[in-house]
Amino acid sequence: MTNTKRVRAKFSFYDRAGIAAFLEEQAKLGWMLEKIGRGIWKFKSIEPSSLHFAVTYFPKATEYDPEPSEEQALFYEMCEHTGWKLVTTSAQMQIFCNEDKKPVPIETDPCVDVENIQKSINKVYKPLNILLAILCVIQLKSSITRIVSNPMTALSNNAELFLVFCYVLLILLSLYEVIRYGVWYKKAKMAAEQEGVFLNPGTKKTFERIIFVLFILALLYLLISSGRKTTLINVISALGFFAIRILGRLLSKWMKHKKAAAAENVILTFVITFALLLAFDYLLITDRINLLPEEVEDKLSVYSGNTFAIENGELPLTMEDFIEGDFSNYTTTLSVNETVFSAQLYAVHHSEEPDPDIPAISYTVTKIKMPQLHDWYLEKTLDQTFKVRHRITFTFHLEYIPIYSEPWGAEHVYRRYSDGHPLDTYLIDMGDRIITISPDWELTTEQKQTIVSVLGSI
Amino acid sequence: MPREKFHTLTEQMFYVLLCLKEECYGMDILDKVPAMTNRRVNVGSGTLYNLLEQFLEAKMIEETKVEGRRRSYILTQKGRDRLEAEYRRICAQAEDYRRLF
Repeated sequence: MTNTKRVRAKFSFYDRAGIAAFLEEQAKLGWMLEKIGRGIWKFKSIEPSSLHFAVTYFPKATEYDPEPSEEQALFYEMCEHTGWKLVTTSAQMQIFCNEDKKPVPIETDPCVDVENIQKSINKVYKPLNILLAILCVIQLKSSITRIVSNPMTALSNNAELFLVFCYVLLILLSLYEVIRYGVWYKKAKMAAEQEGVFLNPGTKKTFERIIFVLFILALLYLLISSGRKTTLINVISALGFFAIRILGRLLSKWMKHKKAAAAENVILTFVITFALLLAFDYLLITDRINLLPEEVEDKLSVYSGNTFAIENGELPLTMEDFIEGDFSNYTTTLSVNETVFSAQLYAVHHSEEPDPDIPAISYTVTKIKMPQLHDWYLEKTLDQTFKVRHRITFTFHLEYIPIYSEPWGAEHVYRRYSDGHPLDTYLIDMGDRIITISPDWELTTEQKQTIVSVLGSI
Repeated sequence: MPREKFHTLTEQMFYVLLCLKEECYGMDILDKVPAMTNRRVNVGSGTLYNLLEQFLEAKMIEETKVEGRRRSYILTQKGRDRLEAEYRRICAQAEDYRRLF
């Protein structure tokens, strides 16, 4: 039989009665709390005993304190005087146990008790939840801006929709925590002042469970609907970020062990973790690190849906379909994103040499699954204004203007113009799909018809 | 409108202040209160720690001696006035009771 066990225990920070009852039950089963981790509590084996537990809060304590302060030590002495021995601490939360049959509780005045909890909550728990909600609102705003300005691409991207969903869940969860605490505090204060009783916040976690289930369902949908390559890259990136968080925790623990001051510990841990996260993010965005070896990458699909018929990751149209020549030094890029709203294929066939005179082709095919979205997608794609910031901010306006469509064999064809100058970019609206294509040369009628016939049928 | 802090003292607050009529170690209050109330009232260690801190902040008590971690306190004039006001309030309550029963 093992002498230790780890239990997943998820209590509200201020659910003292729930935590104490849980620990008393564990002691009766022969397990004594040893350490509190992030959601995982470590227990050691003891003789089954009837012990009393008490949870209290020390507002000035932090999880970075190298050792208890003088004030905390005095508090522990006072508790010990009434038979309460410190079991463990987790930041402000202090857990004690008492072997007496009927000990004097640590907290005997509900008014003082409620105010003490309020002090602790106001120090970390509440600001952290509010900060999380604000950060998620900022992220949500930029996601919504992307969706509104370019719905055709954004609503075809399941990772974008997954992020929006996660931000909404996090905002709901953090606001729920703050509001639930606020409501409890108001009621508890009134109960303490008017009836002299401490109102228990309760242990119901229905809302948190619903949020958790919704998150898992959304994550499963993301993984299933992404290609194996995208899924693998997402999983490896998530593991990378997770590893950096663990590194941060280890650094903080090491500094605590070395008795570094709490302020130094907080600042150094935050700066190093943040710098590592930024560096990792930068390396991912700029493709400086290859998460998958090339031989593995080539074998994995970018796409798991069945909207587009793509064989072995080959581009539906390449330079060979338009111009005769040797394209062996050409690189292909193919990605497919799919959601319940639409599926979008993006392909590029270009030379490895960065020479603007060497012809290349790029195109997107967006298959619209919800016909109601067609007009919105088209309207937002036809008329776009971009702001570019490079030393000075300048704005340029891109718009598609209808052109004679008969040579294409399609009903509606548009050509892109940048501030009145024609570009080699065309948009073909086929009702259930919208194609945009940018060849680097003037297309012949035959080439136009090839584009419509191939990209209109994949 | 939020209620003024210590406008009405709870039983625990009342007895903690009462113990500090004379200079007393904080820790000793834990034993003094049950002794003076024939064990009817007990003050928990957490409650006492927080009350001492709040009373100090409100300048109702002051620190008189620090020996290592042991600290002793005594009532200030403000604390005496508050205790006196509470006593009068309790007396008025008792008087009302006597008048009606």
